[in-house]
Amino acid sequence: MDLNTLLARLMKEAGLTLYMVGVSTVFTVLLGLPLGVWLITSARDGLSPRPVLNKILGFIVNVGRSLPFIILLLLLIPFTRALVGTAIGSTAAIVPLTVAAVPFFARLAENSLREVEPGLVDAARSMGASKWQVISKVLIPEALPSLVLAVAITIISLISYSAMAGVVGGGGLGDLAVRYGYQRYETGVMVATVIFLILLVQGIQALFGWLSDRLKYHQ
Amino acid sequence: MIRTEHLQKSFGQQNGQDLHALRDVSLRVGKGQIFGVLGESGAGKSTLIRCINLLERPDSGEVWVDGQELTGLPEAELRQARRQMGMIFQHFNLLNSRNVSENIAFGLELAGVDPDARRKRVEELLDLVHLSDKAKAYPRQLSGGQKQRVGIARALATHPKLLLSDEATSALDPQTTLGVLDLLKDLNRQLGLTILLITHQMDVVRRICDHAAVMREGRVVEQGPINELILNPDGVLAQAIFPPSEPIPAEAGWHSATLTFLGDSAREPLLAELVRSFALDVNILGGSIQPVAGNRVGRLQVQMKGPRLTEALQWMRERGIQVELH
Ligand SMILES: Nc1ncnc2c1ncn2[C@@H]1O[C@H](COP(=O)(O)OP(=O)(O)OP(=O)(O)O)[C@@H](O)[C@H]1O
Ligand SMILES: [Mg+2]
Repeated sequence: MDLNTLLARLMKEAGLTLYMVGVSTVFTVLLGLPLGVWLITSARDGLSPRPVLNKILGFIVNVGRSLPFIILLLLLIPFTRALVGTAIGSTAAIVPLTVAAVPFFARLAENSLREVEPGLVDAARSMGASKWQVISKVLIPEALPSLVLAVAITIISLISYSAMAGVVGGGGLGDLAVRYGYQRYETGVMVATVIFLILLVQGIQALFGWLSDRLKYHQ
Repeated sequence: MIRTEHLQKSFGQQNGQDLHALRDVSLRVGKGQIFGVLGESGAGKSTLIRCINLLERPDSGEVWVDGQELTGLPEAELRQARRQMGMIFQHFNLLNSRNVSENIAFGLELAGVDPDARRKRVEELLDLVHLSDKAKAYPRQLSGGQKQRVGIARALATHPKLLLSDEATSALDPQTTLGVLDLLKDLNRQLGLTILLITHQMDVVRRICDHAAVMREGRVVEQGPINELILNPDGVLAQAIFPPSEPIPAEAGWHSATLTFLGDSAREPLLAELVRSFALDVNILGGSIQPVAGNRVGRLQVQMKGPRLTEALQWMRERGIQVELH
């Protein structure tokens, strides 16, 4: 591959990676944050304890986290097909990526929310806050700097999962590296991909770290 | 203002024994009082105060606040009732993500007060706690005393008639503690605010409380006006203020006694009167005078001798002086 084709190819695959990771991050946060909140509020000492249900869901979350992504990807093929009509391609890859990341992010979010001083919840309740107000005005705003970091960790994990999306024809940077760098011995492609991934991960960490610090500035 | 009836609260079991945090607690706090609850660590003070606004639900018993029974209220009405009671905390519990004004506005926001009315009320409150220059500061930029004043302003935002305070000065240095206590006293006088405060610091009770209760192992062992509690020589409160000392033996021919007296009688020249009216010989063996709840309370160990001793004792008792002969 000459340099121009390499760059063009790199850009195209990077675009696919960002598409898969970006969309699944959005879904992950939309599904994982409520799940994390629920894991906190339904705990024995939570706002509305449901200890049994909490245990069951906690178990499911752990199962989700303990399956290697590549296995989850294959297991979910029927589900993905039912949901998006096909199990092949980058859009289809978003389904297993999200399913893998939701329990991961939910646990991280749960930990972030657990760091919020119980006294703050007491204070809000003593002022007549409803459960929903405690969540939206105390737990999430107070945990925000830490939640932002949890999102960064999740994105980085998703980038790494997405490298396996080639298996279902999702394309992306990981797929590029495997096909050209590994299977066709084009070391240049491999090196370029790796450098690009490193820069991407560093960039995300820096961006979210900066955002978190800004939010934390007051805390 | 507050009446609890036979509150029981247990936190499960440990080593086969019930962990009773509250046992049959019936408390009476009148309107406009500053009521102190004293007790050792683990006595159940925090559990009690958290049962008043139902942050903690008692296992049984009733909680009456301002004529309303709270334990039977549905959730929405309970939230309404909580706005009639402010609460302040040992560690202030301010929201770090909000500045001072936003913290003070929090309860108003929860209650759905519109932004203009909120802003106006926040300004009044900033003024009330002397923090107008810190309106835009964040909690981490404040000293402990300033944080507690924000906590007080926040608790008062919805015009509650009752303020609950759980060790609100325990994390503050002595000087700052005095500032906060004086502020509470002012609020009590200016707004007629009833204050129930929990503390393990005798000095807090001495400085601002007019009523008190003492808790021990989940029970209220005494409660009432401080003036009365203090005169009961066997009472826990009286003994905390005047640690019991060995009676000093009188010399031969003398009678030794402990005199406890309050307010006016402490200011009058008591001993001079004894000498003058009853021709008594009086020697002071020891004692102290302590300021309590705006009064002065004295306890003296004396030895006395004279033919009209019985008459003198009678005279003292009539004037509300506690006399214990040894
Ligand atoms: N949430 C809880 N779970 C289990 N036990 C509790 C809980 N809260 C309080 N207790 C127990 O109840 C008893 C009374 O506790 P409480 O906090 O009311 O005491 P306190 O008088 O406020 O003590 P301190 O002066 O240390 O604050 C203690 O034995 C404590 O261990
Ligand atoms: Mg306590």
